[in-house]
Amino acid sequence: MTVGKRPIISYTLLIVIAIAGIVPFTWVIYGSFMPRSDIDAGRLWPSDGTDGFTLANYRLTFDKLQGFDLYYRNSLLLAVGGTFLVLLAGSLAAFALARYRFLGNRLIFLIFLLTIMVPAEVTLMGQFDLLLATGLYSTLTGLCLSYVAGNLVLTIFLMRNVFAGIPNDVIDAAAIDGASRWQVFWQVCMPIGANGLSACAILTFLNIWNEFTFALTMTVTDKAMTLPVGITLLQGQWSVTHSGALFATVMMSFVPMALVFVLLQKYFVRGLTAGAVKG
Amino acid sequence: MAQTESLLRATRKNWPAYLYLLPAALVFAAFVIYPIGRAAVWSFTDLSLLDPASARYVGWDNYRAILSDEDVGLDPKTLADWRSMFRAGDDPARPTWKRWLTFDWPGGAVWNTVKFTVLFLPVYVIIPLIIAAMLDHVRTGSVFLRTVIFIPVIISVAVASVIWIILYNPNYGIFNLAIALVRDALNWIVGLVSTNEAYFTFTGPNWLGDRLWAMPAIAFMCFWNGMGLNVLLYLVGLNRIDSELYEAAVVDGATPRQQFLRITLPLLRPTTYLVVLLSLIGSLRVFGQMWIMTEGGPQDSTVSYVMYLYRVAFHPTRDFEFGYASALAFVLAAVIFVLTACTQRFSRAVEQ
Amino acid sequence: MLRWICAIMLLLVVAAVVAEQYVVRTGRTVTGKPVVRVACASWQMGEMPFEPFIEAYRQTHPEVEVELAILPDDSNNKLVMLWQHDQTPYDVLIAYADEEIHTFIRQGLLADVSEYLTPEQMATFVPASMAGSTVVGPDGRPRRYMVPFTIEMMTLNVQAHLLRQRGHTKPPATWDELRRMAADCKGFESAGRTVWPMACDFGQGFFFGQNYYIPLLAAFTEGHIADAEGRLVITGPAAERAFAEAKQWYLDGLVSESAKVFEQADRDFMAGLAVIYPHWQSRSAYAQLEFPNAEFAPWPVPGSDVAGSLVSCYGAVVPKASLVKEQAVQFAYECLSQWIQPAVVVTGKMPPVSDVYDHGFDKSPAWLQKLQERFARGKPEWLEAVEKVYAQARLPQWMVDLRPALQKGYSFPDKLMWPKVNHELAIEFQRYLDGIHATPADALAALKKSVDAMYERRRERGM
Repeated sequence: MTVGKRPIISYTLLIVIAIAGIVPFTWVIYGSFMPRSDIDAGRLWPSDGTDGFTLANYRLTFDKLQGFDLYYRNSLLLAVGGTFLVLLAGSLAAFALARYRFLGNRLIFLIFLLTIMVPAEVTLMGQFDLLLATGLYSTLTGLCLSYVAGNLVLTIFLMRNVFAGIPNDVIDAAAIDGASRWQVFWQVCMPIGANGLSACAILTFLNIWNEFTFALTMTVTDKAMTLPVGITLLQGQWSVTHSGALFATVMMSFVPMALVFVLLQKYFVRGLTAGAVKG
Repeated sequence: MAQTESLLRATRKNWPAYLYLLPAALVFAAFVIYPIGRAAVWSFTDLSLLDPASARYVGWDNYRAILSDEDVGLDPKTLADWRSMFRAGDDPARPTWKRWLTFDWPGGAVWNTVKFTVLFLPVYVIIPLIIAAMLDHVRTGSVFLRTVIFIPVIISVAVASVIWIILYNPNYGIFNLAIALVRDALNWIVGLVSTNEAYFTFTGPNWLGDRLWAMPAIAFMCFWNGMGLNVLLYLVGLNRIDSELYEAAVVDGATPRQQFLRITLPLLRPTTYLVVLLSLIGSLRVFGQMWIMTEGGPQDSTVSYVMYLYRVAFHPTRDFEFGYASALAFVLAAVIFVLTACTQRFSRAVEQ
Repeated sequence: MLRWICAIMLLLVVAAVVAEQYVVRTGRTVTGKPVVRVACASWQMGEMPFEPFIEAYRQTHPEVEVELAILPDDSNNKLVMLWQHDQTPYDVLIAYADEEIHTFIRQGLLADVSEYLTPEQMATFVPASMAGSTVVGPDGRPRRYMVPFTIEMMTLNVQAHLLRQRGHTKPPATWDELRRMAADCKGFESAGRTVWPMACDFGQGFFFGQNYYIPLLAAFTEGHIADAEGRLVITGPAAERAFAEAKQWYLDGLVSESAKVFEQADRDFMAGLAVIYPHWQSRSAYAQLEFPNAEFAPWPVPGSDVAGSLVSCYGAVVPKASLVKEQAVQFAYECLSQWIQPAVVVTGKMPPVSDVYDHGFDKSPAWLQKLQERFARGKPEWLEAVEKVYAQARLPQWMVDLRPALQKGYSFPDKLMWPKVNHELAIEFQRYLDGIHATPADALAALKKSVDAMYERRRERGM
């Protein structure tokens, strides 16, 4: 870090930026307790003649928006399950790629890397068709597999770097103690890679929880729909947007993600530092 | 020869590695490689899923169609419009310099995306760097500030779009209310010395309803939404710079500014490269925000490339033309590939 | 340790997958009862008490199971894919009787509901309600593809009490008169916010074409909005006058800037910030719920006495891929077109059955009485909800007054092309509004060019 005096300017600017960043958001928290007509009119205080500050919007969301808890559950299942599968499959693959010589090692890694450049939209239509053909269309299973495929590369890339950076002596020591490859993976590599894993976990969770395009395309029944798609259900061509319910939904969809982040954020930064940003 | 032999021997010894790779490889092959291959095939047919049986092989027609599709913007008519941007225009109401300045560029999904990138990328890459440097500078409280700055990133595109639609309301969204406040304050000041009560009559623009303001408005929203991530990436890069370098520099009498320019920036290059690359690819792929906030915006002025692709493939105003959409997708992939290769080579050259 | 956690997680994932696949692939309840899966649009869920009435249906029809789900907009195209593969996640789809379902009809994906209803049952529907969903087959026999559920009419939604303050108590007879009325309404305010004389949808989206251009055009052409080939009229003096009239509202300062923002006009009217809003009549009813002390009313659109009214019908369609078509149609007819109608009326939508207009609602129908007897002790919540709807069942006078307009309803011409034409229409009007096209004739000429190109492309594809 640059050493110098007078961090006051920096402090002020940072505080201004931080506040500016969350102002839109605090307004949503605040507005979710206001009557809908006042939100639409952009007022900062409920006008006379309305009910004032109430929980009406939240009640409306749970009463009338059938399926809201369903979207919540789906998003949660997908995010947790998908993250778990990505971490598992990704670290297994990264382990193999990082520590063993075999035919096709570099080629396979290269293929994984190249697909970063292919925008996900190319796979959108093909996956649509694949899911239709296998009867997995509009199911959580299908969407989960799609998300896993989309998020594998980041984990493989990061964990491969981490695993490759483990000093050989550590591995050799374990091997001398009679550990098989499998045991080396679980008892040596995974603990060392914990920081990297949490960084991957947060990023993957974030990606899956917020993902919109694929969820929109791959689902047509609310048994499989996720929260971002559910939020757009509150708007629509033939409806009149109920801003109050919208704000309440926005609030509720934000909370789990915020929790996850606040709890894990120090591992996140540590993980990114350990894992990846190399030239 | 000996190399291959030893490789084969290693493979025989390490064959379980393939098993470790298997789950990831299977999912990947099914959901990434296969669709890419399928899309490649489709891009050479006129497939419309409304009538799949009648799909025929049409060779490069789809790709040629991209060059004559007015909605894409690479057709002769739009290109002619571009040429006129470099000459003195003949329309007095829309002089060329004004068109350049107000981003009143010829339409088309490609140019809309370029406009977005030009508006978005520089800000999105430079400002987080400054913020990260400042965070690094103030040691205490930086974790808290960093978390707060990161919060908008957690908000999904759908949620953020919904919030900003109301913020951008032309009558009482927060921005226009602020502008109205400024105007009223100015008028009050003027009113102290003159009898003209409404000297200033400017109002805030119609952010999402004005053909020229919609894309900048969306670009700013995207910046707000994702800036925290870049700040974090830069912070990680800054953390890896050895503090001893700075101490040595201080001993040599370097000012903070010199430290920043001579030590921080050069050593931050790999991170910067990563940030620029990711941001560039991201801005070429922008879609969800336009879809929700303006649905292509006033007069299709916010139809980004991917939004157009989605419309062609899935929207009722087109015919589920998967063939054409696949061609569009591959063109985008090719552009991203080329850009990545260029940035890679540039970064390597600079490092030399 | 870590290994065991992973193993357990993996087992959980596999179990979840198996469970989901089982439910999805068998599609029946455990006991083998036929399941009628109903899907409706998200906006309907917010306003109509489907659950209590569906529960009532379940109780009176123990031989079927009924499930309800919500669908986002623009999902119908994805359903087409599934139906082409002969799969369907839904047996009843409540959809809009125009371009949405005509793509399905054209590909032969929908069932003809008249095959499952008696002629007497078919005769109970108001003529305008069947207009959008009837296709005459090659043998001359009309095929009905929808069981009508609600009707919406294009009206002027007004804040009647505000208009009264400026001396206007009757609907305007011409669009010119409307403009004068609106000009009289400048200057209203609501808790610090300007109330504009008019709210208009001039932005991107489907509303400009259907709720502004077409009614204007219909008034100026006395109902002849389609040309000889059945396409929408987009050239000529009437079309130009329609564009000019709409822009005049903007030039006269009757419309706020927010008209140009996608879907903002609806929100403005919902917040009470506009006096007149040309739109579907349900908008008055929605707004009335927000402001019980104000007086919102739907007025007939100028010119509708001669041209008829733009009518849009929502109803239930049944895909051919459904395995329970008979039960699905019966459900739609009974539960949707008959039982739940009093609740429909509350939302400001009009009933599709003619009997109601003549005789009002039977406050205690036989099926309700039977349910009340059965649950005489320990009345369940859903039954109370149903009873509440029926206790308040009344047909507003304005609906009875609008009934004659339902004899002569019209819908969008050339429904298959309508979304595309509508999209271009809105764009060219915006360009005209911004001054990029100097005159309506320029704008319409540009429109005609893109529309002709669209029809050409369609013809090339052989559609």
